[in-house]
Amino acid sequence: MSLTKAERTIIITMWGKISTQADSIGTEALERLFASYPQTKTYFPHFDLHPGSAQLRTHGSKVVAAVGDAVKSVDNIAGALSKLSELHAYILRVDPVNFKLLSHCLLVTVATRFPADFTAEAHAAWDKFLSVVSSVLTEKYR
Amino acid sequence: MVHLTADETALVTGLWAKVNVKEYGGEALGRLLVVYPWTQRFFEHFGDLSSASAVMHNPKVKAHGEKVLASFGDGLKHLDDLKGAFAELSALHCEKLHVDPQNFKLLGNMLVCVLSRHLGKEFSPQAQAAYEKVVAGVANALAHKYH
Repeated sequence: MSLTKAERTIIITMWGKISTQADSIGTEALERLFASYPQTKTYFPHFDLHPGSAQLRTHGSKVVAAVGDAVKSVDNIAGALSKLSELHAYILRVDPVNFKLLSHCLLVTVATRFPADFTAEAHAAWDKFLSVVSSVLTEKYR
Repeated sequence: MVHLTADETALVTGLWAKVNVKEYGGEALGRLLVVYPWTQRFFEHFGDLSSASAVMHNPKVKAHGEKVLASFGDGLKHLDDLKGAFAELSALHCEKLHVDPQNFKLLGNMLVCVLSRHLGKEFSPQAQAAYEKVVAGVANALAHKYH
């Protein structure tokens, strides 16, 4: 599965807006993930997961920064996220099902903040893009 | 059966009062067909689904979306017995419509995205969590009579 030119354009254009709220979007997406899918908290026993916690904010920023890296190298996401892919495969070993859950929460967060930009076409492009990112992050699992 | 706290039930019903079933239903179904184009397999008789714009403006998509969301809304009145409330529809989706239950989960995700787009900040993480329980409950109820 690869992104069409039109899809890449949508991603890059919207990222311009999204990146201005990157940190808070990342934090909110994680909050939504832990609220809707409590089982995802099992990967963070060492974190203070209360809304507003410094750790949540730091981690949320990290996650969205990585998404940003993928946007900036949208023609070579596998290359851009190669190290992260290894990290997830050998160290973190987050079950692949969870990438769909976080992707969904990222989309929900973006939808609440950019309702007009989040058209059906944009929704499709972002869903596909995050799906590609998820595939890259799990491609070294076995 | 869906296990909602009193707060969650209040969030669900409170926000549902703000939902435009006609508009949001059409949008949710439309987005399903655009974001997951393979779902169009159930709607080949709906006419032009050739582009995102065609789908979102398609009158059959809008009408059917409204029907689906109205049914979902009725289900909200029976949160303590979703399986009972959706028993007939479940049998229909299995025996006549031949719909893979995975599609109920996909539509549930679309509905959550549509609610978040329209309700914005009001669709808090807690509100989303409550709705995720409900859409999962409805999806399970619709799959319950499959054989």
